[in-house]
Amino acid sequence: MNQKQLLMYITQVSFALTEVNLYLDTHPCDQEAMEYYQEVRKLRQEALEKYQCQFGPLLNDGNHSDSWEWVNTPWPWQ
Amino acid sequence: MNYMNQPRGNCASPCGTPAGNNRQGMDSGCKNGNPRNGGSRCGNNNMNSRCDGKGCPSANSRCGNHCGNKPSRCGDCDANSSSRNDPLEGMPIGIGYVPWQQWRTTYDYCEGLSQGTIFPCLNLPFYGCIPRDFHYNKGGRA
Repeated sequence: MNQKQLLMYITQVSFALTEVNLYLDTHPCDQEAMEYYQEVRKLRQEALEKYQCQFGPLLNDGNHSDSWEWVNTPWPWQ
Repeated sequence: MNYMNQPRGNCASPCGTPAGNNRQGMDSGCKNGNPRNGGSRCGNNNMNSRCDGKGCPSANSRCGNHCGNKPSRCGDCDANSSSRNDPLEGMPIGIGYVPWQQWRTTYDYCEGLSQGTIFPCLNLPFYGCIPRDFHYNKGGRA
């Protein structure tokens, strides 16, 4: 996956995570939902790690180098 | 949801008669989509048929305890049964109910983001009327 595709994937699994979050708020004991949550959380973490290591931080806990890479990634207008 | 601009010619009149392909069906008297017919509050205009012949409700009737002077509306404290296939028949009135969502097969991640929900049961595009083939238990089984 290229950068754009990987970012889209992160958006998709992040949305799924939010949805199952809301479902679990009203169904905290639903085991199927819990398994789905764990799977999606894992996929999202892996995708974020992969993206941020390669393309720079997306979130402030995503700086995986010894230098502050945030300022080296495109600014909003770039 | 993907269907906002679809034509709405396939909508049934909520009272069961086909609306046809023009907008007139949507202007019928049943605008609010309530499938109930007019009916009476107690599902029965004649209280005598629910009460025993002496005009005093029997213990097993649904007329409540208004024996004598007070007119009775059959004492129903639950939803009237004047329409068939009412899924809320027998439930207390005056309270709103939200059916309980069950876990079903979800959309895949791409489709979920596109539809605005990962739950097919919650994919409910707004048509402004009840489509002809609408099923009240839409969402199906896993």
